[in-house]
Amino acid sequence: MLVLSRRIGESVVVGTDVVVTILEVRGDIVRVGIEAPRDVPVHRKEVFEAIEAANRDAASPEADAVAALTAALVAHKRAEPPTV
Amino acid sequence: MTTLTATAPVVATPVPMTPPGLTTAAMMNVREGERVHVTAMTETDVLPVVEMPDGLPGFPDLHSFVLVPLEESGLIQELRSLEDDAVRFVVVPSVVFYPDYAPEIDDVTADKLGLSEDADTDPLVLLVVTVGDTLAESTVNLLAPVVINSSTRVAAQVVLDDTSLALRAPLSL
Repeated sequence: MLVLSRRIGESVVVGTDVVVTILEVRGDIVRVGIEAPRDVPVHRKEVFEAIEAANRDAASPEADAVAALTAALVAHKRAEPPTV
Repeated sequence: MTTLTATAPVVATPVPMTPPGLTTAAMMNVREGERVHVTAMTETDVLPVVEMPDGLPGFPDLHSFVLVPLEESGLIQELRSLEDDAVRFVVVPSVVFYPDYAPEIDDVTADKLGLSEDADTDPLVLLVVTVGDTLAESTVNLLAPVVINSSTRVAAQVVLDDTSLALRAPLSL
């Protein structure tokens, strides 16, 4: 891992078109600004990893479970039609 | 049942069609440009292809999907990958399960989806379901909804900035 020291207002360029700027340091919180081309998604790592994990959990459920859930929802809806 | 489609335009509008010379089995996920033949419920339908240029978190290489209804009213649907038959996601329209849910989509994503400043484009917001053993144990992801531009069928799973939104919220009606 490349480690650099930066002051507030200073930046790091990643590749040719991603710029990370240190905006504020307060205690153990550092605010960074990220300029990246629109085809480079930028996410908080732990949030992105949590969504990856949730997607893997959600992917390709058993057909029986899907059928049961569908039946339960349809039954629920018949009992209580939406008022929208 | 009828009001549902007014508030939640269902992307997958089935167009029953049976091209000659193809059996039902052979028609599983047969793609023809922007449409795809799929076996939905008991019938074979021609459904529009949903393109996800960025894939989904955890599945970055899958870009083409089809939204297949699992029952008639669009209450529950399946987002099936056209590139990997094994990958399917159960999804539900947010408007039915969380009517007050109004995700704020960042400008870059809105631009990508062609939703910016185009009031005529009413996006379809779907929640990814983690199917549990029962309805009560099934959850939806409110933090990262699948947003589909219903005119262009371009979609993305949007990672929202509001991290107070639940990754596993109850799927309750």
